[in-house]
Amino acid sequence: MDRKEMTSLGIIDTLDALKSKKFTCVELVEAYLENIKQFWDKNAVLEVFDDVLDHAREVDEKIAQGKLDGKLLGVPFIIKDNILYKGKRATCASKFLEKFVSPYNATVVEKLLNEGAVILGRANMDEFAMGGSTEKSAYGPCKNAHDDERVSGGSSGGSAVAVACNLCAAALGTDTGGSVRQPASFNGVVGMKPTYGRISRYGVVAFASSLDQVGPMTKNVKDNAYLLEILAGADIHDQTTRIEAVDDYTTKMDNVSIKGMKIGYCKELIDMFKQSKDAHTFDRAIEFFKNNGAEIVEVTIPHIELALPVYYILAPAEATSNLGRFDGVKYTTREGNSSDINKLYVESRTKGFGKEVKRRILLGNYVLSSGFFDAFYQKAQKVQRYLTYRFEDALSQCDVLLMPVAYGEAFKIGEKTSDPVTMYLEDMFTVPSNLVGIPSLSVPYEVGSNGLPIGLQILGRKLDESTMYGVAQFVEKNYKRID
Amino acid sequence: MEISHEEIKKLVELSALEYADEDYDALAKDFSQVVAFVEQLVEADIPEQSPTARVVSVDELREDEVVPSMSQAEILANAPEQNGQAFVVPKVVE
Repeated sequence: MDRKEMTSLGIIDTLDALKSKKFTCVELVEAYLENIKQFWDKNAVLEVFDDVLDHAREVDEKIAQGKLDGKLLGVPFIIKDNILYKGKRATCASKFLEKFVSPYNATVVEKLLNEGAVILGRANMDEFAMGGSTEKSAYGPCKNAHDDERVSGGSSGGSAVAVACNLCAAALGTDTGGSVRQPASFNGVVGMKPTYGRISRYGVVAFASSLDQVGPMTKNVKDNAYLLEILAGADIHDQTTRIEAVDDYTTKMDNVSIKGMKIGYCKELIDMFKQSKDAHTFDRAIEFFKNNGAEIVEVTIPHIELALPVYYILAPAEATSNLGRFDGVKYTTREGNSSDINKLYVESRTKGFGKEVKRRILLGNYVLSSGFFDAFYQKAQKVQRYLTYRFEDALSQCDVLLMPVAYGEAFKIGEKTSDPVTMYLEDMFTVPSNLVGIPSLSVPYEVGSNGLPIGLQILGRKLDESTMYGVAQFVEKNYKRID
Repeated sequence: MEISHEEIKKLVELSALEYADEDYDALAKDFSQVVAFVEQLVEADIPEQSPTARVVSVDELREDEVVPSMSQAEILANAPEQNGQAFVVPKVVE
């Protein structure tokens, strides 16, 4: 098998090929390293770890000895730069953590390693996961997999491009308001944010703890479900993890039948999407399901437009507390050599954080400050509760909800950086599922007017990832574009 | 809503950050936009829902178990300045 073919394989196909000795793990890892070199200018990968070939050799020895246990044995991964891998750097694409070395493994990394995965390196992202384009990385923007002039999306842009350009078999991202699904849509890969609490956040640098989730990013839907089975589950180190048993997603998804299924869409959101020049893509999705025997249900979610202001209050409020720990004392970077402790904090934070991160810290402190707390923070929580009920209600009328992921295909680098609100509006379709804690994914299905990929977003009921995966797999296998 | 330079200066101080004087105009403009954006929430008339519908559930508490934690050396390893036992900071008491 040649390099191109080898590195085009997803997780399950790679496992089969390694076990049937079509190639060795060393050959596979070398092929991926060659791809990473070829696509280095995309700026998707911040670092390739120096021990990857040692790990590959260990895998080959195991396979030679017939020790084939390990559900990811020899599968090469890339992880977002905010996920801790013991002994390796994790910078959150921030200057502040430039030299930070992880003292322990995140639970998700522990699970990957326990199953025999080889983690190749760490992926570029918006600094501290704050952004929707990976232009706000302290290490430069990550370019779209299909067009160097366009953004990769974000904040897990590097992870999405790594999967799309075949720099790994699969990647991990994190999603607080769309950071896995939107870059997945922009680059044409499958990205999923699970039910809140389904995957442990232990060892993942916190942005907004009540919204953050790790999400698998893969070359196909089956791989994604397979990976979720491994990553999901209760964790003693993360009290917000769900204790319910992990589903057999890969089996259950195959039993999902579209015929007779109730597929819903939110009227208010589709009205907003009509302003997109790619608006017809969503009509085609509805048409597709109708033609395949689904019952289409229109639901209304009053005040859904408030999801964005709610998000831009709650997320910065939590972020401002979470980023309080970066003070120039505990984590690697100290600026100036002031003999005054307060000055030391201020200088370290001012030089360590980038512009957008500082803006969100200010906003967080603003909405939490006395006099504004009731009007902003408390009100945001009230609307969050309201929307949670409305979504529960909507998902009692249908089995899954369909939504766009973003207003269309990837935009140009620099196009939306002039004012912050333009960029924030990008998150309209992805933020709701974080606010209400339900699973959602993006599956590639259409192309926009510039020929770039567009994903379809599918949202499921809490803990019902299987139905969502089943619907996504149906799209992947049967959707035919009319060009 | 226009946010005054004084208000922003107060926030910057609370956030343990610093901006150059010439940056305040741009900062005030950006920040006013962001605040105007989230302010649409203040006016919205939303019916109250029972506060029991929480996204995060913390009902299940685990047993308290004593297990080894990270060593002092591991915790200090990332510090910009340490003396093997503690983080070193400028003197804070007179």
